[in-house]
Amino acid sequence: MLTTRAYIVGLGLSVLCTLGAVLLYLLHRFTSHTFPTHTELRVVFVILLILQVFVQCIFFLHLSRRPGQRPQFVTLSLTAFIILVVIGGSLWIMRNLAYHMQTTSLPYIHNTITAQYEND
Amino acid sequence: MTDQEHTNDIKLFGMWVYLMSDCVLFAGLFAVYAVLGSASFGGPTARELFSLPYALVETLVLLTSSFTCGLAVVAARHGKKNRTLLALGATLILGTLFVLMEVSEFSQLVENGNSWHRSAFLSSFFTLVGTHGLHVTLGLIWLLTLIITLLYRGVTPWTYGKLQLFSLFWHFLDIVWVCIFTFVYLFGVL
Repeated sequence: MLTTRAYIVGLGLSVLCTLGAVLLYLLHRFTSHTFPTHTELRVVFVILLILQVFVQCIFFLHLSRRPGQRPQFVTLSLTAFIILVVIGGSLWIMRNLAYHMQTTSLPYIHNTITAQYEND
Repeated sequence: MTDQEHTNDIKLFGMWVYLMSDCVLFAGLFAVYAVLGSASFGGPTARELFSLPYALVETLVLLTSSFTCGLAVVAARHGKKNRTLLALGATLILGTLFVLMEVSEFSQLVENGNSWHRSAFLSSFFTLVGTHGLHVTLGLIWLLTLIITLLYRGVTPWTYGKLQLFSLFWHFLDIVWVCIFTFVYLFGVL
């Protein structure tokens, strides 16, 4: 796997993923946000990102199913799990908090304070 | 497998474990940015501040430096000292260019009054992208010492092991940057 060719393929695929995402964004701007739509674009961006991370792991970091690399895979899966918990958990908790705190959001506090000033 | 190769393999795994812990550090910073990214406190938002073409050039520069770093490993594996040094020199130049571009982007933001003081969004932006930039800067210092070592000692199993460790670190930084490019810049200008 450790050949110039592997690195060229890795570079080519990575550039393709990056440019693909940017070209789709330009298409989105060009068609005045109708195709692809915001949501579609977000999904495509994440898919292209995952693809690129895989490409770089295989062609640059030389991760493979060789038996000698088992410890790498064990630590990698543990890390992936922690990342999922940290990012997913943070978003989940903070969204939930924002939902329940709606009445004490900043505009609400601001309005209450100005109303009090007016009464004084 | 020689003794030196065995030692290199153990060191490589140690580096890998460090990189995984670094992954967790970046996951924390990404989580902060995901939560605070829209909290612009009435100030400029990501869409008003970021330039996609500029970030794209940064991405391509770092990607190419990752590529040349890989070429250095291949050259060193075949015992070609000059080609290794040439590829590492290219990596050094591209890496420096990337850091300079990032510093210029940061100073532009600060000059326009959009520093980390401005909003939670900008605080988290500077922390996330700044931490990555700091890693790249430290990587460049490491690369410089590696080039000097190779210059004096040539390609030996010992220096080859050092080069392997560096390339792992450098490729890892590239992967983190690709995530930053997607979640900060692409999602930002959307």
